[in-house]
Amino acid sequence: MAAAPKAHGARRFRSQRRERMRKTLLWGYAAVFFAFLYLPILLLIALSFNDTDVTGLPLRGFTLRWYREAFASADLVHSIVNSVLLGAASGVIATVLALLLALGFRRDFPLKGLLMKLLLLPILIPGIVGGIVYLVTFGFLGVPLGVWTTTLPVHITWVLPFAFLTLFPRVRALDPSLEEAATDLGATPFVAFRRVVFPLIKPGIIATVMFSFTLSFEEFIRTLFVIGGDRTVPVQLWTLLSDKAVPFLPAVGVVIMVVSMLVSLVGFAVSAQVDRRRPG
Amino acid sequence: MSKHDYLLSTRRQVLKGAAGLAVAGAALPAFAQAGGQVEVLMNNAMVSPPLKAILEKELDLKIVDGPFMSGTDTVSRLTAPGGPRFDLMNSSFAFSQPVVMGMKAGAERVQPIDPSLIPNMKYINEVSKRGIGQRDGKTYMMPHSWGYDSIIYNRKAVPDDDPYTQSWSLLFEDKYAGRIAWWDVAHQMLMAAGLYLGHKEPEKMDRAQLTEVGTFLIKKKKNVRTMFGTFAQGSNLLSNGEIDVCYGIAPMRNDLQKRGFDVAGAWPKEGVLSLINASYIPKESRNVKAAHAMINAMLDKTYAQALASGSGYLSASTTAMENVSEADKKRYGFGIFEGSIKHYELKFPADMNMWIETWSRVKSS
Amino acid sequence: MKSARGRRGLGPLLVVPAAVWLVVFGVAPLCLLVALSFWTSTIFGTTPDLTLANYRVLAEDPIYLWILLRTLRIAATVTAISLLVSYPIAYFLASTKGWHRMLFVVVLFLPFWTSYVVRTFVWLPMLGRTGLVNAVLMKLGIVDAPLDWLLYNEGATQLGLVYVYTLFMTLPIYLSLDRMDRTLIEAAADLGAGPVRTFLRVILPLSLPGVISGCVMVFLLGCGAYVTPQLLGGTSGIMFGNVIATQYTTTNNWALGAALSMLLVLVVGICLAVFGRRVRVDDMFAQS
Repeated sequence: MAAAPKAHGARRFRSQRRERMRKTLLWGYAAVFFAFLYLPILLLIALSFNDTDVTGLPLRGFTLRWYREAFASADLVHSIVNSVLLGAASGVIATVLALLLALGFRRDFPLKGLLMKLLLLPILIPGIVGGIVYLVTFGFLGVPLGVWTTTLPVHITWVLPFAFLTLFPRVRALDPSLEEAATDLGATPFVAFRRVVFPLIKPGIIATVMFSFTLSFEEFIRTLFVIGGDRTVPVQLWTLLSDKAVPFLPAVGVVIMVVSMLVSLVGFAVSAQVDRRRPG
Repeated sequence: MSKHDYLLSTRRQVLKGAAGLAVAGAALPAFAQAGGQVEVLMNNAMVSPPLKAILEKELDLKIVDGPFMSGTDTVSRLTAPGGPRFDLMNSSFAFSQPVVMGMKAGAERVQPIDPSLIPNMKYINEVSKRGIGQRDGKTYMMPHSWGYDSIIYNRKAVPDDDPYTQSWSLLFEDKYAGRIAWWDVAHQMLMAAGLYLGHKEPEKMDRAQLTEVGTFLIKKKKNVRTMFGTFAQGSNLLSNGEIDVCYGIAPMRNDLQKRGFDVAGAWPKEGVLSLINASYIPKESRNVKAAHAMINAMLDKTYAQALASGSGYLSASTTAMENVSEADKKRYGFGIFEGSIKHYELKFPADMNMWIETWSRVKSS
Repeated sequence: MKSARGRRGLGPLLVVPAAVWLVVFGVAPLCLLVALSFWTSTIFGTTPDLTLANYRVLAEDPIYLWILLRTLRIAATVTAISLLVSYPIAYFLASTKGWHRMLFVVVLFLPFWTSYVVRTFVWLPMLGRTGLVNAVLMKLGIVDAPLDWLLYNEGATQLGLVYVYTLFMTLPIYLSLDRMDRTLIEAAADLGAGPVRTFLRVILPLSLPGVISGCVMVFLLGCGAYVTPQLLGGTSGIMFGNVIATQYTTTNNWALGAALSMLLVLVVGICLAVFGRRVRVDDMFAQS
């Protein structure tokens, strides 16, 4: 297998050049991709300062009045608070359920396949159908629609499969012998979990909570049907879009983006701190 | 409370969430019951800020208007368990009467209106008297105004003297292909098309005729740039310059003109689609006295005269036409009362489901 | 791996809370929907019943099946485009290191923090007659009049869907590429494989779980799309989601809506089952 050193060197040179070309192509592609991704966002920002009653081009001058209106809107603040709280609650609860599920899934048990299919059900059911399913159910049961009565369970159910799919690979990748060693040394399963398993998967858990939060924050179509008179951020945006001539929609969109960014950065910071405190 | 009523009530809440106007979204203060407040459900243009101010001042009352979606939605709240949480409601007479007054005596879902509390009834003009809903000597519905639907067009792109502006052909035919928008509703669109195609009483169209209208619309769909769901979307399309012609209700035109856009409403010779808006008081109304007072005040001179310019609706009160210039009369469409403008009342079709199916087919083809 | 303490017995019990939750909130509502599809609805309300009328409407009126097929086709196209667009960027992300990677991940996520409604809506001022694209094209003199065909058609819907769902495709692929063992690539190179071969024989298969995850997600999202076709689709870009939604927001025909929903779920289920037979869906998360 060992080629003559000269030929090997030549191949290495060729592959280095290819490597560089590949890198350039990749970076070039990334630039184009991000440009495509950001162009509408930049347009959005531009429109949010547009001094005209009409939502769209041409740009007729600079104004801050849309932001003033956006901030003055109690509805918007309400919807942001609702979205953040809802996201946190459903993120945490779904992660807990997903964690239990993932731990249990490490072994085989009867009906495991069926449970797996059940788990994927919320993803498989298209959003519009999902929303309607809950609308009908809650209507039938007479449950009043609202953020904490109906939207929370819907969000948890929506987020759960994702939380599981994110967490399970990491749980699965754990070396079982670590846990066994702990139990062999006399630890109860719970202590084994707390002292051995949990620290190892903590970054995964944090990531899952954050991902779940994002999913819940973004969730629109199911929420639209079950939230009743309350609002989350996406529903509020949709109401604005449908209801008024919406010159301040772009401003609201930008505000939402900044808020989400801040919340996520907080999440990242927490996660980074957790990582730093991890033993070796 | 049957299960199906619950389904209705949640649907209402869905629609509230889905497209609700953000006007009075906040929770009611606890002192709602004291004579000082009345909660109404009517087209919000009817209680737009200047109009609301007139009423509030005259009656020393606080008016809270809920999110009005459509006549169908308003009326379906009447059948929800516990009743609607409004003190006064208003929607199109033709559409609402079957549900509001029920099919026979005793089936009324609203309480009788006491005519002695409505002295301004004497001002109701002849044509609007049709909107007084009575049974067995009791009055249940009181007319408020006329609204009418026609076509709104951008005057810069469509000259006023274009013969197309005299007919519904403006909305359907090829001349302005690609610059037209339709409203995404079965009833109004099929009515307008039915009128245009020559049916004298479109609401009586049978399946064969409906299918024919449907086929026509499918053929003309290529001229349509897009369909809009809410009037805000329609107004946006027009003001953006995305389209030049669209189906529009009077408040839409009124609003666009007030914002400085050069649009006009067409007066098709086949007739604009008209409807009488009528007020009624739910049985569960908590402020019956105020409800009556409001109905009365809305027929009074100050409100009636401000209604057309404030919302586009034409008050049913004769006082509305006093001191209105001929030019303004024409602009707002008062000719409906004087017989100089052809209009056709939007009546409830015999089989609504069939209409909806036809429209679904038009949309999906 | 067996322990005398019977820990194996305890482990699986952990799934009970989630299982209960899923049955209550996942299965039960679905059963109700099935029941609803046999009821009767008019514009004024719904009454429990036992009728096949709704399904008969679906069977007799070809329009529903036609829209369903169109929706599946659009969803499949969007999935394919999304895959082609997202794979390279996922690869790019996986190839960066350290703070570079952190930065790019944040840059990728950022637009997805504006909410999907806004991300769809913004294509109106982008592609409209008075929109950005037309303005630029006219300024550059490439066209004399605004292009009409940029918006309000199926193409615009597809563009909107690809744009909105990019993250769902990129993220899983990136995660599975990230998890890949670099030494395998090096080994392939040492064995004389060219870059294309390395990609096809080593990288792509290893990233397959992520690719499948992403494709399944985007396909499902595409099938249920509602907002995007409504805003951008004009008169020809209507998708099945819109038809279902209409039954609940305008025509009040809940029973028909339920029947339509069942049809969609069934068809989507069949598609996935067929697809799942080719590739083991379990592999989706059996990443090493």
